[in-house]
Amino acid sequence: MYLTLNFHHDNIYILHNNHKSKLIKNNYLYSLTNKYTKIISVLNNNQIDTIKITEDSKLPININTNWSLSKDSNIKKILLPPANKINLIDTNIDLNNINCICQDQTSIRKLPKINIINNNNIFTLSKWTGNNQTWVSHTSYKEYVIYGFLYIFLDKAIFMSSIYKNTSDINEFNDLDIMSIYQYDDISQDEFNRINCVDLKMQFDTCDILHRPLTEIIENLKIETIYE
Amino acid sequence: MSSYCIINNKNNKADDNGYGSVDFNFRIQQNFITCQEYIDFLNALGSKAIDLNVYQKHNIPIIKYDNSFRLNDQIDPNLPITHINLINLQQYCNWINHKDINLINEYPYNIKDQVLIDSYEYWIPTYDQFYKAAYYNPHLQEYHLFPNHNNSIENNINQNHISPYGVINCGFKYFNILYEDQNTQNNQYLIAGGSYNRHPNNAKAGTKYHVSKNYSSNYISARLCQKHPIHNLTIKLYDIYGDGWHNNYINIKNSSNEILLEKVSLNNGYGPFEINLPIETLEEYINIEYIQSNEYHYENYYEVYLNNQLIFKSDQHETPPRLQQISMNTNA
Repeated sequence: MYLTLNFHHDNIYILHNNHKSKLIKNNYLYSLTNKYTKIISVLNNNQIDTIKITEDSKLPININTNWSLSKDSNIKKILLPPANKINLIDTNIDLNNINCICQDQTSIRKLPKINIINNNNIFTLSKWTGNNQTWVSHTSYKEYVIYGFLYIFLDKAIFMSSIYKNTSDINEFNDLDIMSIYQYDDISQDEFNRINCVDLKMQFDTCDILHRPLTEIIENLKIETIYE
Repeated sequence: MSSYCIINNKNNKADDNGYGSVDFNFRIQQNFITCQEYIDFLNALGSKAIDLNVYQKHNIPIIKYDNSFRLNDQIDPNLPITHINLINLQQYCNWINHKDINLINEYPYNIKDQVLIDSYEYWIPTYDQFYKAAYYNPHLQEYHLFPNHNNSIENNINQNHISPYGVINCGFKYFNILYEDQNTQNNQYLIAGGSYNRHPNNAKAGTKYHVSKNYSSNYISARLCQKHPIHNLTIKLYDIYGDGWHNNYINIKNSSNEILLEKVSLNNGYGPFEINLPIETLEEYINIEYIQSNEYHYENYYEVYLNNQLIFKSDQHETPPRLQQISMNTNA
């Protein structure tokens, strides 16, 4: 499983994976490991850039990176799930990668509001943009910046979020990165293992801390999924 | 009631991919189960169809219930039934076999466990049975790539196609729900042979998919297999002296000279010693071979009954013929 980026030459992308960082080159292939991956992007040009996660004979998932830029910063943190949690759809003559997770005549209509609660701070992610398999949300609360990601795979949905204080000193040491997995239970799947997206109701209630910030104390970290 | 196609030429060789060999003759529904047939089944159960989980939410796109089951408006009752899953088909098949509401979730398809192997008239085709019905050409003794007598897809896949055995749209249009051992594919069932709202290549021999057990859709339908009718053949052995056949015996073979029963003899007494044998109606004749190993062979004789009607008797005071061909034609 690997990722590849196609981006405008004014933009900069840095790959953090397994405690290593490297500058991403345009249209190169980078292996994904079974640790989660973080991409820090510095966007100087708002042309559409795309991250593609793919594997041989599988339909790729695409993440558009130029959404909801913070007004104060051109820096964004994008979290990708561990490679062993990603389950892509096999290529097939009947499928395209536009709407490949949903069965015929179904689509994702309703995404939840997700609250992340830490030290009496409630960070709410509710406005999702994206399509099909990847959805992103961005918000700010007090001095914090919050990015949320929803990945919808054949057998599970993964929620990831990166929360950090918006200071002039941008590094990954003070990020709180979390991940929550919702395994579909008894959801009906068609011959390509696609799901009935109308019936899909993700419930994220437990989460793993992927990265603890050095300067912040994490206390009573909770996550809530609310459908309105 | 639907018409059935005879899938004969038993023991045909498998295709290169290993599929398609069936060691008995059977029948398969020429067309899909129709909406009307399924509605009749539901109405035979009445409101119990809801209690027994035969009618469920996923059937709603095609069938509605208000005191009785009805097709939704604008659905032609002659169209193949869709929006059913394997469990619905098992229940339908149980009903077709026994017409007994108590067995609807039990026999021969036990909805919770596995199929109960016993004698029953109708069953859900397996992939090999479907494969043979769709792709095998008995005249050429080879398989076609597509279920239209052909190795390519014609331009208009929306036309009706017919397989060499006469099965209509067997691998085209709708996928067929097929049965396989539940142990191998947990919580999934097999579908094959559809091109309705899919690429026509799905009708190609060997293309099959699994869907989850509760999945149903507008492109999945089903048809059933039926046992080929059989004759009851009875053979009675006698000895006029009353001391049995000793070491003499008969072998019974079918038209293809395959042994059905071997070394049948009367151990002691006058007889009759009676053997009952089911014979497919497709069999034109049977061969009875008499093997003599001692000198008292002239004391032995036998009678052959087809459906309780005497069709052959060897001479009472003569040695039975060494090889006797007996026609299975009931009019003879």
